[in-house]
Amino acid sequence: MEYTYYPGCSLTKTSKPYDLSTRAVFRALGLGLHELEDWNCCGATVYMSVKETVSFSISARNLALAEKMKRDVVAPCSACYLVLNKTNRFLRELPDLNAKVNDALSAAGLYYGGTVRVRHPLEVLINDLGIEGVAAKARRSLKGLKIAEYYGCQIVRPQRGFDDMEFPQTMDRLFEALGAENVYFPLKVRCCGGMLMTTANDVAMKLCHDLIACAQGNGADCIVTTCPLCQMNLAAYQDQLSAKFGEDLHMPILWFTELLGLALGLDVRTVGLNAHLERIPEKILSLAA
Amino acid sequence: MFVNFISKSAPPAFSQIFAPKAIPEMTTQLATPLIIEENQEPEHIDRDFALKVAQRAGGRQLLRCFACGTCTAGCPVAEIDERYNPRRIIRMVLLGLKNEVLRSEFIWLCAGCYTCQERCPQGVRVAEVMRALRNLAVEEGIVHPAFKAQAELIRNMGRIYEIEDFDNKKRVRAGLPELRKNIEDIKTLFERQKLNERLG
Repeated sequence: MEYTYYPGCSLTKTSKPYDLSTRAVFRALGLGLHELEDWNCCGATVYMSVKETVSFSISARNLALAEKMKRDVVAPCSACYLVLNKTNRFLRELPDLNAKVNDALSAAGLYYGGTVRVRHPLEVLINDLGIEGVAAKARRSLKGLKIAEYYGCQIVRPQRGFDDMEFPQTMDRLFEALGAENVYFPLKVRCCGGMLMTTANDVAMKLCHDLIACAQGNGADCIVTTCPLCQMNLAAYQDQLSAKFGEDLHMPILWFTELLGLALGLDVRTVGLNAHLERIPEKILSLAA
Repeated sequence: MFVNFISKSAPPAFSQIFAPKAIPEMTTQLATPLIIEENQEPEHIDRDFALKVAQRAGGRQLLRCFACGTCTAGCPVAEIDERYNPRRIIRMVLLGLKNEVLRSEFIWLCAGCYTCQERCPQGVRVAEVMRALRNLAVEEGIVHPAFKAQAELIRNMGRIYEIEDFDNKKRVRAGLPELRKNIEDIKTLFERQKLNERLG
């Protein structure tokens, strides 16, 4: 199976390991990823807040380019996944907006007909290969590893996508099939604060504290997430969080593709686990031994 | 090798955005108190404000709000910071308190997690309403500095992060085609939609 790959801005910099591991995991599973040529920012949730018509236009430019490729788009970043899907939905719902956007696109020699399906890699693996299909290709067991699966907000909401919006299970079942143990983690879709880390720091710090403290308290070895911003917020501020709340809030925050990559027999560098801000303990690194 | 993404060589825009203290603290005070004296309808009430918001993408359902408060009860931000209260903001919009809403900082406090939106029994797309309100604020010339900074990055480069020679070298080594540093199409799209006059 072949897909158009839309990495998005975060995966070129702060979430480089997510990019490396997504490409590696798809290759290991025999799925083809073809990077969308000359892609631009999805429009980002930030941009939507400033000028939505422009945001929908720059978002639709990606969809217009992808439409020519005639394949489903795989977008690992939750915000990209949300924004591209939202653009699709609003262009369908609102003919006036559609006309404005296509008018702007025509200035760049493009047209978007609204036929592209935007999917998240987790959903692609679950639905196109199936959990058994993925597990069948595993070369290592994750036995002994305790995980808190953290889905974040934007892959389960707001479009009522592929999993439950209050208590999703796809990632849990996937890692269970790979031998890991899931700890009780009720904050699966609780917000990490997102961009509030930069604009309302106190709020985001408290949200991140709650997530890490909950996972730690329930005995997790690591949090596994699907979102660049969730990973960034949870991983990059651990020193500040620990100082602020007077607790040790250090814990590895992995992208689900990294851990999946290890299970599929890939090594630490291939999945990018050597490029984390937070310390990755031996218990996880030794899975690749 | 350990790669530190927040190094001195990072583009200034990046460190500016992600260093929490680099951005001035928000003041979430209301522009004017909300208490309206009896028989004294404030002159600035905009009777069409709710309709203007409703005309925006995802705004139509706003008019159905019956103020049950499910949005506020489930909001992770409201739980920590009581200054943010989606039910209150929606009620203010429906009452036509345009200036109080658009000039307040609280419309910028929504984290966009969509919990309220999915739980709303009336189908109000609360997060979309917040987005519409921010758009309306921008049209009044009120832009949160962090949002403005990111918007300018996208306008100039087509992406939030700059693609440097270093990135392209690594891509070539990994067998990937180079990425263009600036995407001209984006400027074309911008000009067509006339954002430039807003951000000026």
